[in-house]
Amino acid sequence: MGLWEYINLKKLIHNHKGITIIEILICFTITAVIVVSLFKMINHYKDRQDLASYKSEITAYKDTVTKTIQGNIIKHDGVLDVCDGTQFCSNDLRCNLNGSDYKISYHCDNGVITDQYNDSYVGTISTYLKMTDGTVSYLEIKKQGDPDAHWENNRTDDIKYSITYQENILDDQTKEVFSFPDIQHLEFNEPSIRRDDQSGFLKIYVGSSHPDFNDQFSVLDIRVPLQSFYPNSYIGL
Amino acid sequence: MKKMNNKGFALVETLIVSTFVVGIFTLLYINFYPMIGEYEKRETYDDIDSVYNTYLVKRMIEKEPLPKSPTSEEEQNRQIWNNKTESGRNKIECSMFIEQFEYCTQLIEQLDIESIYITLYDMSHRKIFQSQLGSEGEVGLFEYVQYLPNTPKNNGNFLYRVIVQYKTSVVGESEEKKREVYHYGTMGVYKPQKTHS
Repeated sequence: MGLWEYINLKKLIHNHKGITIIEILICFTITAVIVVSLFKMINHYKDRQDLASYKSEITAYKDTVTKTIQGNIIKHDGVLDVCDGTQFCSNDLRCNLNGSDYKISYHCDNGVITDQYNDSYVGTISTYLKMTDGTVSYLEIKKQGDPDAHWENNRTDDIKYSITYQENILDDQTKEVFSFPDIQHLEFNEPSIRRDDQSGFLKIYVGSSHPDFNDQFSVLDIRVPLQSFYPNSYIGL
Repeated sequence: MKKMNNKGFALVETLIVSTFVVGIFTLLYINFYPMIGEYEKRETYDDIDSVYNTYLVKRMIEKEPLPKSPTSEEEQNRQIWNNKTESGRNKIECSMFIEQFEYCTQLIEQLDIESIYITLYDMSHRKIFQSQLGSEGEVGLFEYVQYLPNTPKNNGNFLYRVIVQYKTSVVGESEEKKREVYHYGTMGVYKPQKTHS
């Protein structure tokens, strides 16, 4: 072996480049510990982001529906009178608004309008609103589930919620249906349309609840004075 | 001669650089984190319900005819439109409404109104408004007035504005976790022309 080959062989034997298996294992262990500790934190922020997006969707929905209904109320110089849910709950199922009769095709159950299924996963609350300028509008809050799915699995995830508002009952073109965004586990609760005879106010309320929300949010919360109680058209334009 | 390997970092250099990087990130965190709180606070400013409820208050004020000329300072203080309004702040009470007293009491109760103020539209007397607020503990209202922009006098369309503070109870996870939340709304107001007969 010549001198040159000897020197190359020596370099080969004493080659300190590269990494040992123990060093690799230690690096992997440290990286894994860091990733696992960050995973929980990232998951937490992802959940927060999901909740924020749900709230944003609910707020956008609320803004749209409130603006439609309130805008129409102001446009027609305020609500003169309204059919209270209890007015419907008679044998007649008719609502009399300032001399005009309106026939309702829903059943009654303890003062609340429901449709014929009368179950917890299906229900409707509705009313007619007579405006100061004579226009009659219609408002409906509805939840609709699949009866077969409910009986099979007792599920509530597939329940759809919607609010229907028709500015003028004589014109079907003015009907708008606002379907609630499809958010898992989110439910409407405590919907009510009530004429408060003591205060002379109409109150329309729909709440919402979600297992991950700390606070309850309202999907709709409208309170307007009835012009039949306060006859000087205080909110007229 | 032995060759010195000068590659790599000394521990001191690493520590100095780390200190700088941590300091910069801390500064960024301190400056940007309060923005999240500000954003959440502003969700209660001029939300949709507050805007439409403030509209009802505005119409009530505009519909109330002006009273006859007051005979005493005490009488003047009980009016909606007086020196206090012109100088920057007048708190509205239902006793100031002659024709709409009952409506006013119901409106305040049904809409969960905490307080109603009239001030100048352009907020030029903001400091006078705020200087009187602290003594009544209305911290949230102070911050809302701070948030309102300076609006130039808009050619006589609105000279005044109404600021309404609402107080609602929000139910948390349980009834015990109920808390009070304040909402705020503002709107331009016209001074009525008609006088009481």
